[in-house]
Amino acid sequence: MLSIENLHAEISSDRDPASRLAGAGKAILKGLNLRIQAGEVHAIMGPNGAGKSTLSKVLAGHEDYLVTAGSVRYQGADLLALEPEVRARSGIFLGFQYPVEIPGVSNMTLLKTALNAKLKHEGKPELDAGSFLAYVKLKAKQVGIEPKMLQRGVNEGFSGGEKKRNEILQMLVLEPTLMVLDETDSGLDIDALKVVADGINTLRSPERATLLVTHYQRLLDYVKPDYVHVLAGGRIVKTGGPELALELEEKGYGWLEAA
Amino acid sequence: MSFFDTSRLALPADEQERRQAALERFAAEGFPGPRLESWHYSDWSALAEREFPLASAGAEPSFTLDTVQPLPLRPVHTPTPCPAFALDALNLAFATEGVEKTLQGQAQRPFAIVQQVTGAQTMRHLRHRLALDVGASATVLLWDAPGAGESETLLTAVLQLELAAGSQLRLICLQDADAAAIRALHLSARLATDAQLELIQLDFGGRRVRQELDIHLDAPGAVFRQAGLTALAGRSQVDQRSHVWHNAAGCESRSDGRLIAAGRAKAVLNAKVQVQPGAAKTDSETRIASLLLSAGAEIDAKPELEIYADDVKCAHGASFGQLDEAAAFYLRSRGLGADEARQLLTLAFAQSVLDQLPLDGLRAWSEQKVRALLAEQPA
Repeated sequence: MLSIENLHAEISSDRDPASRLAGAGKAILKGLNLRIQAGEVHAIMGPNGAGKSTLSKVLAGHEDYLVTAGSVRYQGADLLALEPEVRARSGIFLGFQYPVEIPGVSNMTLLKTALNAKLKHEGKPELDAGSFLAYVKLKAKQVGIEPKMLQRGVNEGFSGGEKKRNEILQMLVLEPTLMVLDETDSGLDIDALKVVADGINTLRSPERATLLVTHYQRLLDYVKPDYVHVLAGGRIVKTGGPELALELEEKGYGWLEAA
Repeated sequence: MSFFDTSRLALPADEQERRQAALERFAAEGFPGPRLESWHYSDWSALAEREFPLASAGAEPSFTLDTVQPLPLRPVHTPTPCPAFALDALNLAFATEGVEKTLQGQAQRPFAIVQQVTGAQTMRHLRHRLALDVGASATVLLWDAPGAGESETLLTAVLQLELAAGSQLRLICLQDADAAAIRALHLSARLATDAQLELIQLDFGGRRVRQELDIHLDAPGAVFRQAGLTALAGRSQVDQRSHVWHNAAGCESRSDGRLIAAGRAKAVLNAKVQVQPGAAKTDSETRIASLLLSAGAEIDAKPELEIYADDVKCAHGASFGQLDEAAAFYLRSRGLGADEARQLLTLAFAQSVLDQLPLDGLRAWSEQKVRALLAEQPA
């Protein structure tokens, strides 16, 4: 489903100075290789600054990052050539580490517009208002979001946990093919963590794949990964099974970075 | 200045004389510009070179509105001067028609005053007076409508409002004039005890537009609430000056001004609240937010406070910004196209004003106007 080869990326210096990130031109990913097959769950772990979030954003098409070498193929297509919205409509979902607050655009408007964009892309008819509402209410209940919160601006005034639940709600509504979750588990209490894990597990299927980017082993108690990778210094330095996560929890990353 | 000729109006001699005097005063003053302090951002002095014949009197709007009842224009013979308006002399010289009406009771259907100039390269001057009786309530739409295509036209209008005790007026000023239109509006209001004026301003068009507000809260309990959306593209310039006078104790004023400029448009808002001696327990808040959508656009926002009383609560602030790129990416990452994302974010910025609109059709139409702002410039 996803095939990343020799990926190099740096912080973009193309953007105008006002919106450019600090460290423009700095290389973050330095030859990353990763293959994900349908039905698999991969976890990427690694120390701060290893490039975990950069990898997620590059996959989603964020303009802050510039790919300087390598390739990413998704379902046989050149992913890097696609606009962010086309990637989303094609089934890639990025769960944000820091979901953005958008006052004035209601959660309902976002969910409806996003779902319709995807259905249109797939050549399917839009849902009528009644069916859409019932569908969203069902999913909202699953992640513990009150219907009245859906009328509020996207993530507006939501707590950290509510924002992450809202990410999962969007994911459940859009039913992506490849879920890329960027530290969706960070800052969550145990109940919210279970909601996030349940959301991922609900969608887990032989047709779908998941890439979990996480600092901690905790989420992996609830979402059993098939593979665990260690990302350090911009590339994957070690790959193993679920037991690798436990080993990392015990030993930290120092022994791998030194190697 | 051959267009300055009041004899065409065929008026009684004394009225003719009075108008001629106003005209001479205007000829001496000329069109306003930065030499007047309150015209710092707009210069109309070059208009003295233009010629605008009077539009034929009694021209009717070229369309009808089915959800509102139009208030007919009537002859105006004895206008009350409005010295705060820099174009008052010009208006006094030529304004021979306007709406004069006293509203009573609870009006269910909104009224409309339609201002339109349909003759190419012509001018028109209107003078309206609206009064609300004690306890009356009404909604009035003042619509400065397009009608002359690409042609330059000049319209000045004066609207004088009197709100008696306990009356409530919701006034919607919709300015959607032609792209070459020149428009000057002066709106003054006097509010008695517990009277409420809710003003919703929508500005979408015009080449040079000047709007002036003088709101007098004359008696305790008077309330003025204002929500303004100026959303401009192309080469539109809209310059707004508002002055809210707290003349009595225990009055309230709230103002939410939203300015959006795309293309090479320019939006100016100078909002002043003045608390006069004795106006204790004044509660006032002025907020201006600005959104620049292009490098060629300009927004000048200036909230002002002048306080001569103790024990008052007054807040004011202005913010400036561009479209939030992080929010735009978030929306795109959910499958919304780049244009759709930018439109939604622009609409979100305007939402607090659009939400105030009581007419659903007008709200939907206004949303389309805001979305269209981005159409002329690539993301």
